[in-house]
Amino acid sequence: MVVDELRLAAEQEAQRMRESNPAQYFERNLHQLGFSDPEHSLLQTLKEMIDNSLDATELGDILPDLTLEVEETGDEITLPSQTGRGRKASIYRVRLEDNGVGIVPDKVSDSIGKLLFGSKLTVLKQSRGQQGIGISAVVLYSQLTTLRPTTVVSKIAGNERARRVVLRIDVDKNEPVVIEEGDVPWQKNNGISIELFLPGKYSERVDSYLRELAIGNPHMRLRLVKKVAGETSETVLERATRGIPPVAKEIKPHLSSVDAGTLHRMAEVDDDCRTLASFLSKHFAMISGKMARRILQSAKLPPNLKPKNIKADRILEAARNMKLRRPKLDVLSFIGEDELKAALRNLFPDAEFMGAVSRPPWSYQGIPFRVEVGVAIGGQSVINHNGEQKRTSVIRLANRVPLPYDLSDCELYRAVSEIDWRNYGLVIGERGVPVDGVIFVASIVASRVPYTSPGKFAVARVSEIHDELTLALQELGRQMRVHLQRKRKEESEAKRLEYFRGYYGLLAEEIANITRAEMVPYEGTIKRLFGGSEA
Amino acid sequence: MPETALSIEEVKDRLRQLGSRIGDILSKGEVPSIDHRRLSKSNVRFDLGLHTYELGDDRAEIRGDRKSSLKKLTALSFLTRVSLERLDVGLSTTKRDYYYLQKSRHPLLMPANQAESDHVIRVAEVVHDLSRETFGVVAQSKGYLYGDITLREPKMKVNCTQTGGDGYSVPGNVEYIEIESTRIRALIAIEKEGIYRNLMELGIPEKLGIGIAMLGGQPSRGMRRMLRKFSDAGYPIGILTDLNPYSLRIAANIIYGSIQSAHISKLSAPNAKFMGLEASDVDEFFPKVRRVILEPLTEEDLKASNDNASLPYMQGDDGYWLRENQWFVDNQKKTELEAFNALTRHARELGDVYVGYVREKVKRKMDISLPG
Repeated sequence: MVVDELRLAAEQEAQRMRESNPAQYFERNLHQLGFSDPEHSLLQTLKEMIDNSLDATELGDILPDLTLEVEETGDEITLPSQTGRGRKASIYRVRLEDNGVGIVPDKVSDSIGKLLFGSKLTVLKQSRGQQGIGISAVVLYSQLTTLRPTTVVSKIAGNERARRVVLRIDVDKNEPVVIEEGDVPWQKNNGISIELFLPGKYSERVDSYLRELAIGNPHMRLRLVKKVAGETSETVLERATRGIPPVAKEIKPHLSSVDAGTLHRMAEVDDDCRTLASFLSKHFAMISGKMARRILQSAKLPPNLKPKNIKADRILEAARNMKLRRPKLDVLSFIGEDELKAALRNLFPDAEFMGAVSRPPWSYQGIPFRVEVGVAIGGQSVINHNGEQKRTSVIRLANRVPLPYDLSDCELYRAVSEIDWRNYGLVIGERGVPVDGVIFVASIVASRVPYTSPGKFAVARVSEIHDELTLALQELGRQMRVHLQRKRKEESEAKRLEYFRGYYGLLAEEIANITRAEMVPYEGTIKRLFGGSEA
Repeated sequence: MPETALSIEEVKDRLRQLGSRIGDILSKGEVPSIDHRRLSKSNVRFDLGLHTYELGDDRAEIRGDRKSSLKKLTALSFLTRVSLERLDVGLSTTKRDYYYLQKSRHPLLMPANQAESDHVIRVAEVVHDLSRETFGVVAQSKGYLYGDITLREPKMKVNCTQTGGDGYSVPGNVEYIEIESTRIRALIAIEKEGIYRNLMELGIPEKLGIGIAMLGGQPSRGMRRMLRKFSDAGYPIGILTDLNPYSLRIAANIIYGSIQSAHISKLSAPNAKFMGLEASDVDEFFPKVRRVILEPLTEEDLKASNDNASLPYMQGDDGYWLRENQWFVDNQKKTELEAFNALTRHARELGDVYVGYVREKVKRKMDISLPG
């Protein structure tokens, strides 16, 4: 693209941001943001609420302890549909309670009742949300569909009572409308409870989403109280480890990770820096003052140019030729091999084998990432999880959050399915699906996960990520091979034993027939052949 | 092997030995293993001194620590048990019978085909050092015996001129049949039925004081064993066959035994003599009809002749067999016992033709002067 076009794009984007408020924007783009149908919407709601709670516990170095209530109220509403004919949907009550740090009483209504664009221009940080829409978007969706308000209870450590707020959002002003507010007793030291109503549809996907979430977050405890189709049940996903994962750190963006438009806009909104050189070294990772001047020299721009007069594409091209150092890599919150195995063990207690490989961090386009893979093989729980398996079972996690949709477009799935697992001892049946019950886990944490497109739950194919995944999976394969070979050997040894027992049984019978005597015992001979350890 | 036949009780004792032997090994917690003469073509040799095929010194082992071997050992024990059972109730068994028995015993013993269960029978012969007939696994009966011969079967005596039909039908198992008494000076084994029946019809056995046996092609095991019994009892045996490469094999089978049954020594009669038809007979006995009796040699005949040349027995007897065999290659001709008919103008002449030939050959090959 030529400079003028780039400028125009960036300016239009900035204009749009200024003019439309997030609540209006969200209202117009419900479908794109995961609220397309009742099943999707419920799952998206739960995801946003849980993300919010996990963030809140992370802030306080707290082991997350969540209670999720999902209740089919029995009420129905009619949703508009593309065909013009309305679709009926059940209204669900959802309440999530956490033990996070909570919100200070006076900020509760603003924190929950006002939408913010989450993507910050000047920093990068591993975060759970893909769209950055957050909990307020869910509140808005609830209100748009059911017209019901949201109830929030929040308590911070040290306070006697909790703040309870019943609110809705004024879309035009993007401001909370408080319906009720007051202090109430709450047994918890700290935490938040959010309760809202929405049209939804509870499916198996919710259950597997929560199980997969537990794999990405082995330190989490989640109690699920479910009242669906008239049946109430309570399940607890216990935590598998008590170690709190490392906290993700904010980093400056890397010049190789920004596009021209973003760079242009960053320069435009910057008010502090007097020169382009100081702007670059202040806002970007691995750019010293000296490096900034070299880049500008190569881009044929004077170092004292005002940031507002930036030529974004020339700077980026110069930076590409400069071979910038990789960013600092230890800024990610990853799962860990032992933790991943513990989480798998927790969910699949009777699995025969658990393996995990956590690759060291690496970067793509200046963005730190880290891949981790795991596997559980055999056992009834694995078989049950897979159900009617038509594909290789891959649990995909991006920034420790499950990706429930768009499996086949996702690099995390494709990297697994492109490996010929027969080389690692798996027996592969029709359609390339392993015959033994096998569940793979493929996880990526990154300061920014490269999705195929906004609103998609698929990781794009990026060569650095693909290579790291392949290396991790090959290492995992070697672990699997050791196990599977031993297993096959034990199986064939067991078969041999059974075989020999069969023949010796017959032989002893025939000998007894010939000699017309009592049947002679042959266990001694079997022992001699197979050693004492058998039986 | 002992020269005198074992009694049924002795055979049973020997079969039971296998049981007590393996029983002892099992009760000690040890792994059974049975060593026996190896049954393979490469372990068959031709004893030039004894003029017979026999097994060499190679040994084989049935081992209880190997999967395939263990199946064989179990099948061997099963066959042994079945044999004891059937001897007790007086039942004979064919190879095919045993194939079905083993098939139905247990899935683990299921034979892949009859060759596998046949092999178990052969193994039993070497392990027990008994021919299968002694433990009741009997070959098909084939062939007849005629002449003034009294045989003692377990349940009765029989004279081979008093049986009616084509003579005494030689059973599959002749183990327990003894030669009681005879009025014959020699026994002539004949390949084909036509000439055998003519001899009977003409009263020639009675006239010459000989016995005749009808082989019907390759002799059955029962017939071979029977001929051996006559040989052991001191009767000279003569062999009369067609003149072709296959018939040489019939004669050799009687005299030297076969590779297939090298492990059974009493199936050959090394003293038996080949009387004819031999190559020189064409010129000597059939000069006038020479052109009409000779038939062209086929491709298969020629191949058989080539194969014969490398057989071990061919190398003995001062090259006699090699010369006979080579005659076919050189002349590309063959003929049959039926050629004697070409020497006659009237039915009454046939008896004299036969008598002339037989007397001459018996005199020449066995040094016996027959009356008449």
